[in-house]
Amino acid sequence: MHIVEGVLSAPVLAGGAVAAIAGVAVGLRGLDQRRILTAAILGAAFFVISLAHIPVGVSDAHLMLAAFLTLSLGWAAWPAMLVAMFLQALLLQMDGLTTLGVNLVVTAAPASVCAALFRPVLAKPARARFIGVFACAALSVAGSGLCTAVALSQSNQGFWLAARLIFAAHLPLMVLDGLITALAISFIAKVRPEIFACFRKPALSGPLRPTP
Amino acid sequence: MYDEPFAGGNSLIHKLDPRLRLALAALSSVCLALLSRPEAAAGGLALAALTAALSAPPLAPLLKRLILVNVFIVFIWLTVPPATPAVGPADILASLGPLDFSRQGLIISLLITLKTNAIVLLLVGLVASMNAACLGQALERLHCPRKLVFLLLLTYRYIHVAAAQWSKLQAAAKLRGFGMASSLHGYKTIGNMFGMTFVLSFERASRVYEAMLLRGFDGRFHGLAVFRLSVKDIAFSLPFLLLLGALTLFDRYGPR
Repeated sequence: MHIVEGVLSAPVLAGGAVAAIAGVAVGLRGLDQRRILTAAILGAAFFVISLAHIPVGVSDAHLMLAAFLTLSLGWAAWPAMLVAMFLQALLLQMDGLTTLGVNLVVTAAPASVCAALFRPVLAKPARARFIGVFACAALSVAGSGLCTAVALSQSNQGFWLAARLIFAAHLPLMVLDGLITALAISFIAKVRPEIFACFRKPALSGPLRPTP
Repeated sequence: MYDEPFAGGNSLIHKLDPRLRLALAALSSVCLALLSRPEAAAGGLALAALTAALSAPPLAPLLKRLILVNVFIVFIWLTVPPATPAVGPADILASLGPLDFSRQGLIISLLITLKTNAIVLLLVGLVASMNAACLGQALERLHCPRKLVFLLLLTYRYIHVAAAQWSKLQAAAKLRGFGMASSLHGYKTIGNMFGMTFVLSFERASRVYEAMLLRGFDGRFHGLAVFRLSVKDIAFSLPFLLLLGALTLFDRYGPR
């Protein structure tokens, strides 16, 4: 869920921008030319898949996939997501320039925390990895919902109802995002485990081994 | 697929220096986002509409964008008026069970509607009127970190690669009788398709990258466009900045 322009108050916008700049600066430091390629592909996949409509019952939803990026890229996910969101603003006017910081922080910060906690499961056997990745993605979606709700309700006291509804809407998304992220990572680990070799820099991410 | 419908024109705005357009868009987005009075926001919307009109955007995609943004605005209109406490009993316009629709809530909703549409129109006029390659170069000239600009240009390129792979896989699944359905099998298929999109895009991008290295690529794109400020730029930006400044001052100090 992206917050559109013109809704948030100045302190929230400024806080989001400062936190986003810090995160992106840390992420850029660890990126060399070869890894920029991987970050760009993941950012592009994030852009494309997060626009796809995934059916949920009679309705449909968009995936967030933030945990997929932070699990595989670590801090480098911040610039990758920033660029993807900036392009969404440019090509689709989905969100604007002033809300870019807040939208990046509410998406990337919870996902980074969850990825840091759950990264060791990537090296575990298939079943444990599946459950770990599921939990990681689900928790990061819940965290995003919470952060969005906080950003809204901090901006104006009249937003509490909207904030609660948005948080509630994130709950079914947790299961969906967890499931798809876990399935996709299992698939990649099965089909092309060597792809994740380029993520294997110790500071940024752990190894992802093929299933035994 | 993501074909930048506003970038191809030949209007006054398209002829302005991209660096200037980007700087004006950033400055005016911030100014508009911070407006606190509906009258000022209405002025901002007029300024934005004028700017967008000057860039002569094609109407069908413009309407589509505006509708997309205003879905969120409808949500605001439905949730904010009943949730905003009224200042006095005279401010309660209607009551529905325990919910009171307050005048203050309606004013906030109106303000948000005006500001959101104004900023989107400004973005369409000033930023969406350049293509991504031009945007990347403008950002680099504005001293954006080089790695970030490189990442932007590469991501832009791979969006089209990934979208092509994704739609190819979707077509293949459809031919095999797969309809997107909310079942475990459906999600499994979508998850695998997502993984496959990534694998295929990664392989294609790696091949291209190696080819680029073989041709002496050193991490920099050398743009051929020369950016120069001209009389046109000043003729556009002076009135624009004056109007923007007047709106901000009116919002802060204007008569109530």
